[in-house]
Amino acid sequence: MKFATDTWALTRRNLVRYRRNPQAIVFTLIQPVMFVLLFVYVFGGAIQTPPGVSYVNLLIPGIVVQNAVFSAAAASVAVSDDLASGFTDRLRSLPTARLAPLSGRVLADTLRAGLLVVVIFIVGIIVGFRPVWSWGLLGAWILLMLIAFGFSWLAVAIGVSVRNPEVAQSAGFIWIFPLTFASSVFVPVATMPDWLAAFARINPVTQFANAVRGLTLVPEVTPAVGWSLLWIVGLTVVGAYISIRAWVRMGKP
Amino acid sequence: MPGATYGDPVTTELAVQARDVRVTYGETKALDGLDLEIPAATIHAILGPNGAGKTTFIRVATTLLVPTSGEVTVGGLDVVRQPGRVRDIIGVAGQYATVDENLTGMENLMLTGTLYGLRRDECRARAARLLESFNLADAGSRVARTYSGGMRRRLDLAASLMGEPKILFLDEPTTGLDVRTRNALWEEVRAIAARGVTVVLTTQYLEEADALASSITIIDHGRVVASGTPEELKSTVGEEIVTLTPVSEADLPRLAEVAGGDIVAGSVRVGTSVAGLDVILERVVGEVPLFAVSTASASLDDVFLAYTGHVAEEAGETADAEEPSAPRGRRRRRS
Repeated sequence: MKFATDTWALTRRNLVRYRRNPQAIVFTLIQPVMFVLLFVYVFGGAIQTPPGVSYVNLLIPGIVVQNAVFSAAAASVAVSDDLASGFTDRLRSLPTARLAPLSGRVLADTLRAGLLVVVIFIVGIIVGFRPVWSWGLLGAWILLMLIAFGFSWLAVAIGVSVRNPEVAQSAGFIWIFPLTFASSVFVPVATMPDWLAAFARINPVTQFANAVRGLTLVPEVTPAVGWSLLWIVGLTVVGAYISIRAWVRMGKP
Repeated sequence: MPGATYGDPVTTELAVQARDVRVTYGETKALDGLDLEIPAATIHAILGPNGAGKTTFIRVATTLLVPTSGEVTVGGLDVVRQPGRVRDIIGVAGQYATVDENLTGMENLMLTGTLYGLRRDECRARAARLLESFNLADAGSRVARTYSGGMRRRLDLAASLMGEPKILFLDEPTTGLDVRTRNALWEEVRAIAARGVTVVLTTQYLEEADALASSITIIDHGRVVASGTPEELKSTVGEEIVTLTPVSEADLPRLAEVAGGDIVAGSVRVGTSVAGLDVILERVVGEVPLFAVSTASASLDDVFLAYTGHVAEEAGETADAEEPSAPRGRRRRRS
């Protein structure tokens, strides 16, 4: 009970922080919109799509995945910021439920990603994205929040491990570029050189993007949904294990 | 252990007790066998230079850091075995003023209160009362980012009182504050102690320890070098401090030897009784040519110097928490 109360109190604190920090809003909202516009209008014309599918319909489900991952990665910096500023120490000197600072962080970033994804879907629809209005959209939305949940745990693990905000800034984002670009998010994997296509096919982001495409465009539950869920479980287990272990060991010799 | 102790430990209720506490990071010994007893319902100052181990001790006492060895009890509770119960009865405010600058003053206090497990209405009432008493009522609805340094410290202090702690730890509460703000904070601390809260504060300012504390522990290199009331500590170095300046700097070692004092910044300082100047001059005159002689009543500065072998920090200087210690001075002790 104390765990739930404390988690929610800290989730709200984390969300307020994003809302009151204009820089964070710019990063969170302007950047994905720029990406949508850039890829739809600048690069889109030059990208080969399978016959009968418009590029924007392929792109938007990919971009929302990319942003769910991006948004979650912000947790690295936030966690290390709190460690460096002494805020975490204050929480630890209070009778706070032990793991509530971690769960409050992950929950806040999951909810934030959920909101961000809705905004990008709306922007997508404005520029020509045409999803099938069905249960599939709700399913995609839930899947996207689960993706953010899994990556948040990984990001928290990075933040807790590096502890320095500047290092977290690079360590928290450096893996994101290869992961989101060497995937099916922006271009069909078949157009890549073989070695890169091989990586892109096993890349979880490819599975996520394909899963969201199936859910929003057909709608159908493709095998990619199953693979996505497996990846999410894997990310959560690994991320939570590293985070919680580092957390309970904090301050011990 | 030099210096006075605090009366009979059997009859005195102790708020904090530390026994042979060691904290080692690789080669560095942040705490090197610290022993400490802090009686309940007093203001106790832990005085020491940067890197002496003050912050490390506060981190151990507030359950943030498990010591390598040794035992610390706070309110009779073991900080390693019962950290949860210790957290229920302590409040902590630090030199970094760990308020969330994106939350309003009120929200900061509400968050802290929630984490203490207070009900929502109780939380709100207590927060409003604290904002009022710390002169932050008008600023309570503004985000803390807009606060001045002094306001942040006050909010930090208010937050540390949300759980109505029995024991309040203040880690360098006035470091970096201007004199007026510092004096106001001193008043707050006195008011808190007057309500029966034990206040444990660390400081590198002798003036602060002297002004606030009824007992003082001086630590250096992770160890207690002296403890007692301000008066007891002052009396250990003598009532008067005589400063002798030789004509030639080359004579300093000789002068120190003859006068029985310590070399400090081109002079020799000797602690003595009020009538002791005569005796000192008698020994020195004819041995070493003197340029100047001055006397002053002993201050905590002199105590500090006598026990740590280096001068205390100037007030107002910003301090780093626990940097590797300053060069070790020679450690000559008076008896």
